Amino acid sequence: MNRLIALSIAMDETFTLTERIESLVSAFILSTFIHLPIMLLFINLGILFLRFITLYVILGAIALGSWIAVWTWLYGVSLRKKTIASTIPIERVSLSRALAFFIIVFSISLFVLDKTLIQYF
Amino acid sequence: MFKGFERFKRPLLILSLPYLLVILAFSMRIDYRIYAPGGLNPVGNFIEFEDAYESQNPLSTTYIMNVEEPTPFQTLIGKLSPTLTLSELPEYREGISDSVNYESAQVSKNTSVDLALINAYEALGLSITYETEHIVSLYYDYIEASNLDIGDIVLSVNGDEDIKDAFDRVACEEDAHLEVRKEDGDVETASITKQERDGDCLFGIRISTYYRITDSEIPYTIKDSPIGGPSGGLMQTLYIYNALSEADLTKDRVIAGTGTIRIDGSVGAIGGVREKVFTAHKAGVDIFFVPTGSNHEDALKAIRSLNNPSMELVAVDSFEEALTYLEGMRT
Repeated sequence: MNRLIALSIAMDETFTLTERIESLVSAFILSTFIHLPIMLLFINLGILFLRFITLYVILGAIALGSWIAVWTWLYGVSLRKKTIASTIPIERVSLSRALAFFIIVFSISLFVLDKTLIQYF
Repeated sequence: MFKGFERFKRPLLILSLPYLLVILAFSMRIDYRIYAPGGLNPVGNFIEFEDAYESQNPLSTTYIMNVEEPTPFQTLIGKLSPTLTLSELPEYREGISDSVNYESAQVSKNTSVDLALINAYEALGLSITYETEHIVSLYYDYIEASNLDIGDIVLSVNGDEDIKDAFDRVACEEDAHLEVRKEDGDVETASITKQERDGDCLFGIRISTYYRITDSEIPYTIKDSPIGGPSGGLMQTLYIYNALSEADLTKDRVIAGTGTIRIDGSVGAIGGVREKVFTAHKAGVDIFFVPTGSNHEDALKAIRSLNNPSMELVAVDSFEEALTYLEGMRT
């Protein structure tokens, strides 16, 4: 874990702030582009078929987690393109970060949606 | 900006038009209304008494989803699904925002709960006192009003406490000056313009009669719930009556129903009865109360369309009738 954090810091320090912001924004746009229709689909169906609200809440939480995970992963992909020769295992760091963000966002979303939707309906 | 994603450029450009169409299909709003089955809401979840008698089964209201101005995708699903009812949005419902709809439904529910308490307490011979007030229960987005919110209690119009007459006397394109009591108890002034619309002269607000309870023999607590509307009135009354009387009306039966309650104990018609019947059937309800008349006819049609319906449909005109029915079934 400590090695991963050290690699993560090293990876960020390899690039300039502009490069990182560029990658972060483009990865955000791409991930949102992919996930927006999926999330809208779940919202559309969840309103109509309330009986399956638990299913749609779980799917919605997965979609939110996936959105941030893909964003994180694409950020790494974009950075790798900028410095192909780098010895830092960017892919590994990105995937680890993506997994961590997925778990955090999925858990928070599930908790919030449970408190606001599942318990009422 | 997209350095590193150049290879995605071409597919992204090709996909952009169908992508936009998909986004529009999921987000654009069109003038339809969809009634979709919802669920049961045990009244005990939001009305609580400290010393309520236990009952074997809950008494539940039935809620449905009323989707006004659905997306094109939802409209398509509404056309294809046999459990959803798609209709054109009535003209009088156009121009009401989602937040106003929600607040309006909450006001309707709150006034309904007070009516249920009054009816149940009086039927049990418990003392309860109330005042008749006029509450702003809905307004349209075209109205020109200042400092007027849903839930405001209208105390006077142009200094006159006879609210209805005072509103009627205001001429077209003229202002009415209202004295209103806000939710926090502050008395403030508000104004609203009577406007010409579709050949009529309207204020664009709905004022409902609110029987506000001032004192009751047995205290109660009303908990927040996002489920709104007045259609739970009958079941709320039955629940309160059951919770405060020793004999259990429910026994081994799952009881639910729908119908508004009025101050004289009569039961009023509701919308979306077909979906409420489907909801009750799915939830395994044994006895389902509906208002008499067209609601009962629609409920019968819905029951006939079900596979192996085991639910007993009981049409009632009043709380008294529903009570008599349950008491008759008890032994």
